Amino acid sequence: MLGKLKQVAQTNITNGDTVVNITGVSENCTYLLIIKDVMTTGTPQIRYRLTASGSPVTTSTYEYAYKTMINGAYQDHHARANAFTDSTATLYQQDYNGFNAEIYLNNLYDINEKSTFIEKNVFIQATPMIHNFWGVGCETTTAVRDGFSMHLSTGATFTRGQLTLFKLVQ
Amino acid sequence: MSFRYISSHELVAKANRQNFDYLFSDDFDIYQVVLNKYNVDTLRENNSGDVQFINKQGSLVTDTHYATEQQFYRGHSGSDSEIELGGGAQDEIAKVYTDIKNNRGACQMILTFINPYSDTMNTQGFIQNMGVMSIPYYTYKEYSTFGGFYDTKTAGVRGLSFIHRDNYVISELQFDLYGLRID
Repeated sequence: MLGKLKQVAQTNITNGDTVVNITGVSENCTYLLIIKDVMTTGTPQIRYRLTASGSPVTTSTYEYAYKTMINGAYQDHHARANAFTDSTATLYQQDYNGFNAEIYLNNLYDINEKSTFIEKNVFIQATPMIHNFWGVGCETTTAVRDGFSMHLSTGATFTRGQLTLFKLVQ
Repeated sequence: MSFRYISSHELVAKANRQNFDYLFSDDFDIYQVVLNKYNVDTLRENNSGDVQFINKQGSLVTDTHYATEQQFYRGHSGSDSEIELGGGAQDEIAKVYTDIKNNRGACQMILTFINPYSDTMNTQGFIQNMGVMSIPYYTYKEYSTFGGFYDTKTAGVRGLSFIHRDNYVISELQFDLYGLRID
């Protein structure tokens, strides 16, 4: 995370949101997204998409691979290819005080390159059982994307949290 | 610039434990410690130390209310290994691997802290560590770990403590502290 960062956008989650978008990608450079203190109702998975013209891209153009580290349970490689219709990542229940993630976004604004991301996240279940995912994802097609989107796997809603987007300045 | 250098810290004197107080405050929600040097005086396979918190009263936190998880890799022909470190009731937030400075022994680590000073939010974060073993006949034996930690209590902390796990003396330690400014 070292580097010169310029904050370009911020989205504060409102209680009851089902989709959270943050846009502001407007140049062909690397961006850093900090997801902080996200809570939801119920026990959903948090799922990611990228946005085009401010709206989530819902076509089946995502792939991802994660190392999932969960104490007391299992460690696993978690990979999905194009069969998944929407998500670049799936996450699990969070209790205590939320889900946090650090995501580097690359090539989103380059029409000639596939969008990619590198992520690490941490959250916990009530056991307490830490969940720690490290992984990467990409789109399988080349297109311009202007932001990032989160939604939930069930009828749950977001209750709080904050997304902040930084641009890595040369 | 949103990512701000705060301060640099180093070992005062050789010791088994070295505390660094007053690192965290309410100035930032996210901090990063970049550990540039960490060496010990005694040669050992799997030479490692623990990182613990100092609470807002200045006392070392040794309660087992940390959930941690680190993936550990050790690379060397004939003895490569990959194991899982941590658990749901740890008294340390991270393990750091290193060795004596001679013959390539080295260590670097990046620790990211989210909400360390908050009394209402759980402190959590990320761990990245690389180390190099010094044992001559184990040349090029390197460690790599990555993972995370989560404090299941919500009491804020203000400092860090580094202790060697085998009561060895820490001979060199230096890190830089950064804060991520979110406006």
